[in-house]
Amino acid sequence: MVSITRYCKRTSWPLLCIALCLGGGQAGFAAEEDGPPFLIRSAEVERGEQSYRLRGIIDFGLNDTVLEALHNGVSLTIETQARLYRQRDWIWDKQVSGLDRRYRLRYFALSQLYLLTNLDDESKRSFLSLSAALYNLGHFDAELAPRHEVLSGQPHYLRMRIFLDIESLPAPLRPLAYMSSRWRLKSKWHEWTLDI
Amino acid sequence: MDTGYLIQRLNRLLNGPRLLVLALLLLLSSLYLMSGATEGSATFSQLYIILLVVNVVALIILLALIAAKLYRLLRQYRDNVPGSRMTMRLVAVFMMLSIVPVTVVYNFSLDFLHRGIDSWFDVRVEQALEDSLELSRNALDVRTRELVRLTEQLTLELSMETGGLNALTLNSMRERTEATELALFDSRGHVLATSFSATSKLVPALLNDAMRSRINQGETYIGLDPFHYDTLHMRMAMPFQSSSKLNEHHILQALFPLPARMGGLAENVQQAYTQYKELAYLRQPLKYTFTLTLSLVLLLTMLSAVLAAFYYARRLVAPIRELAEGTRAVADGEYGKMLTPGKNDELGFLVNSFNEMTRRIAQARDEARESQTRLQEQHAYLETLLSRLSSGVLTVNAEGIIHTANTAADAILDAQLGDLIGRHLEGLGWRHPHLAQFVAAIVPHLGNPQQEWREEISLFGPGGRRTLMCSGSALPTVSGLAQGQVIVFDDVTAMIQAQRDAAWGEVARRLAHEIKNPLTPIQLSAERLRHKYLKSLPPRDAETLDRSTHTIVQQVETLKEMVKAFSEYARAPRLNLQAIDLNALINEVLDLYRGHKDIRLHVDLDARSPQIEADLGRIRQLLHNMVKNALEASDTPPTSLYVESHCLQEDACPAVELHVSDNGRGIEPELLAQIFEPYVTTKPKGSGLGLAIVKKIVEEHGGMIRGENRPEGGAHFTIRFPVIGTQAVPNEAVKEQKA
Repeated sequence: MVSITRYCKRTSWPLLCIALCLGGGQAGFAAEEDGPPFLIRSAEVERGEQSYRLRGIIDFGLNDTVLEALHNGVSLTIETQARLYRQRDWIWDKQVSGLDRRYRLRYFALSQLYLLTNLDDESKRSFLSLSAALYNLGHFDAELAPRHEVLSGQPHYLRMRIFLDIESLPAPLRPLAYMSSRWRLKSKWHEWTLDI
Repeated sequence: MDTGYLIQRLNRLLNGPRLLVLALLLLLSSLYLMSGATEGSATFSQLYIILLVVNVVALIILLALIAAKLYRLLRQYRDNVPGSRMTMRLVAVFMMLSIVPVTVVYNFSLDFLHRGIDSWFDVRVEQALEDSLELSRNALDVRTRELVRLTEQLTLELSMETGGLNALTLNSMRERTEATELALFDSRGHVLATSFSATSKLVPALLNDAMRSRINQGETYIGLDPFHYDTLHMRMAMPFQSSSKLNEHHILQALFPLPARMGGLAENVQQAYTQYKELAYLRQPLKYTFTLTLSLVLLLTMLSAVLAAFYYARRLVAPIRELAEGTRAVADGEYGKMLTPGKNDELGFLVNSFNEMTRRIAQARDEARESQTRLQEQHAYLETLLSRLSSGVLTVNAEGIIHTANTAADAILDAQLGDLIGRHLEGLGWRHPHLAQFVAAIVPHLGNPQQEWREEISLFGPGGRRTLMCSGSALPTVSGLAQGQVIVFDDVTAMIQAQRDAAWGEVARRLAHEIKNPLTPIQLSAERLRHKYLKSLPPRDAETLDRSTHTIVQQVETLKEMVKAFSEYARAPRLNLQAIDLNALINEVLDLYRGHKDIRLHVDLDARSPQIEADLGRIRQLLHNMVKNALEASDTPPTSLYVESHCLQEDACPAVELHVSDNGRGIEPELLAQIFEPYVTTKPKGSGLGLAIVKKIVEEHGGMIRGENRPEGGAHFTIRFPVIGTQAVPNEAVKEQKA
C-alpha cells in the first residue's frame, strides 16, 4: 500500500490508484497485518442477589496504525456486545437480555494520560499508560440480566464480541478504515453455554 | 406483476432523459458530499458512507449502461446498420469534448486541493506548538515541585498523627493548603477519609489498579487531572507509613487547582496541540477522501457525459437513420414507407419532405398500376375480341414488321403467324409460298399508311383458288407501331361460290320456265309440218323438209335434255331421308359397272361404317355421277376407279368418309376451286353439271365434298356424310371445304 500511495503522489493520477486501492487494498493491508486481533480470553456469568453479572477478560491488540492515530489525538471507540439466549426446542431461541457497552479511549499530550470514558454513563477514568487503560478496559464486569428473567433449569448460552467502531472515527479517516483491514479490529462472536 | 413488465417499466423509466436527470442528481449529491467534506459537517459525517456507496453503485450502473450501449453500437457498426457510423463519430466527438476538459480541470483541481491541504500545515507552526507544550509542561513542573513538597509535608504530618486519621484532620489540612480535594486510602485503595472544598462532592477521584500498584511500590503519582473538575487540577498521590498500623501504609491523594491563568493557558495549549496533531495526522486521509470524492465527481461527470453523448447522438441520428432506411426502402420499391414526423427543425423538414415525396411516389405508382391493369384488361378484351373474330386481323408497322395476328388469320391463311411476330411481312411469303400473292398485294400499301385501301386478293394454294377480301387502315401512333396499319381480311370464296350457285340456280329455273315451255310446241309444229307436207312435196323438197324437221326435233330433244338437266340441278326435291347402309348402296351401284370394259374397280369399304341418314335415290344418283365423271375423265380406257369408305371419329363428330379416285387427267389447278360449278369441266364430253349436282346432293345431306389432284395423277374426291345422331354444321363443312 505504501508503494501505491507514493505512486499516487508522484504522478497525481489518483483515479487509477483509487481503483487499485478499491480492488487490491484488502490484500495489501492484510499482508501487513501484525497485531493480534481482539481476543475474549474468558467470560463468566455470576449469579448475584438481584441479577446475573457478566465478567470477562479481553485482550486488545492495537496495531501501529491504530496506535499512531490514538497518539495523534484520534479517539477510539470500542464497543462490547453480549447477548444471552435461552435455548428452545421447537422454535427459535429467545434473547433474554442484551448488553452493549461503548468506551472511548483518548490520549492527552500535555498530561500524558489515557482517558477511558464509559459512553453509557459518561464516567471517566485516566491512566498513566496505555497498557493500564487496556487492562482496565479488558476486565469487563457488568450486569447482564435481572434474575427473574433467567429461568433456572433451562439451557442458556451467551454470545459476545468486541470491536472497534469505525463509524465513530473522524470522517476523513473512515473510507480508509473501511478499506483497510488494519482498522477492522474485532473479535469473532464467542459463544458459551451457561449452567444456570 | 410480471417480471418482464417490471423490467420493461424500469427500462422505460431509465431510458432517455430520466437517466440523465438521475445521473445529474447523483452528481449533485456528490458535489454536496464534497462540500460537506470541506466543511466537516455532521450531516456529511452521517451520510458519507451512504453517499459513497450510492455513488459507487451509480458509477457501476453507468459503466454497465455505457458498456451495453457501446457493445450494441459496435455490433450495429459491424452489421453496417444505417446511422451506426454517424452515431459512432458523434459519440466519439461528444466524448472528446466532454472528457478532455473535465480531465484537465480535474488534474488542476486535484493539484490545487493537495497544495491547499498541505498549506494548512507548517513545520514552524508544529514546532511552535511542540515548544508551547514543552513550555507548559515546564511551567507545570515548577508548580508540581511545590505541590510535591507540600504533599510530602502533609504525609509527614499524617504519619505522625496519633489521634487517628479522620476527616477533621484532612479538613484542616485542606483549608490550610487550598487543596480542592484530599482523600485518604488504605493500601488496597479503600477510602478512609475525604475532604472536599465543594459541598456537593461526595466521592473522591478513585485510584485505579495501575496507580495503586505504582504507589504501593513507594512511588508518588503526579499528574494533571482535567477530568474531575471544570478546571485543570494537579493530582498527587503519595504513600506514607501510618503511626497506628506499622505494617500497613496509607495513601494520601490531593487535588490542587492550578491558577486560573495558568490552567486556562495549559488547557488552550493542550486543545490546540491535540487538534493540530489530529489534523496533521488526518492530512493524508483527508487528501484521499477529497481525491476520492473529486474522482467520483469526475467519473460521474464523465460517464454522464458519455451517456448523454450516446443519448443525444442517438436522438440526432435517429431521423437520419430513419431517412436512410426509408431511402433504402424506396430504392427497393417500398413506396408506402412513412417516417415518424420530425420536429420543427431542419431534420424535421427533411423527414416531412421525404414523407411527402414517398406519398406522391406511392400515389403515382398506384395510378400507374391502375393504368397498367386497365391496359391489360383492355388488351385482354381486345385479344378476346380478335380471337373471336371470324375475320383475320393483322397489324404491321411502317416497315412491314408483323406486330399482332389473331387466330382467324392463322386459319384463313393456313399459316402459324404467331411464329412470325416481330418479323417482316415478306417472311410470310418466303415461309408459305401460297401466300406470296397476299404479301405482294399488301406491301405496296405500307408505303402510304395514311390511306385506307380495300382489295380482293386471289390465292392459289393446295386447296385451290381462294378469294380474300382485304382492307387496310392506318393505326393510331403508339409505341413500337409508328405509322402502322391494321389489315383485316376475310375468306369470301364460299360466299362467292354461294352467290354463283344461287345465280346458276336462277338460270336453271328460268331456262326451265322460259325455254322448256316453247320447246314442245316447236317440236309438235315441226312434226306436223313434216307429217302434212312430207308426202305432198316433191322428193327433193320432201328430203329437205324431212332433214330440217328431223334436225329441229332432234335439237329440241337436245334442248329438252339440257333443260331437264338444268331443272334437275335447280330443283330442290323433298328428301326422303332414311337410314341406309352406304357400303351396301355403293356395292349395289358399282355392281352395274362390274364387267364394263372401260372401267376397273378397286373397292375397299370399311365394314365398321355406321348407317347414314340419306335419300336413297339421291345418293344413288351421286354415286352414278361420280362413276360417270371418272369414266369421262379418262382419255385412255380402261379407267381405274378406286372407291374407299372410312369411319371417322374426329372431333366428337363421327362421319363416314367416301374416297373416289381415278387415274384420269386430273383437275386443272386454276379450276380447282370452281370444279363444282356448273359448266366448269376439262372433259371433252359431258354436260358440265355432274359434279355440280354431286356437290348439291352432298350439301343437301349436310355433308361436304373436296376435290384435289392425286400426286400420281388423276383426281381424288373426298365426300363426308354425317352419321345418324349427329348434325353436320354447315359452317364446319364449308370451312373444311375451304381447307
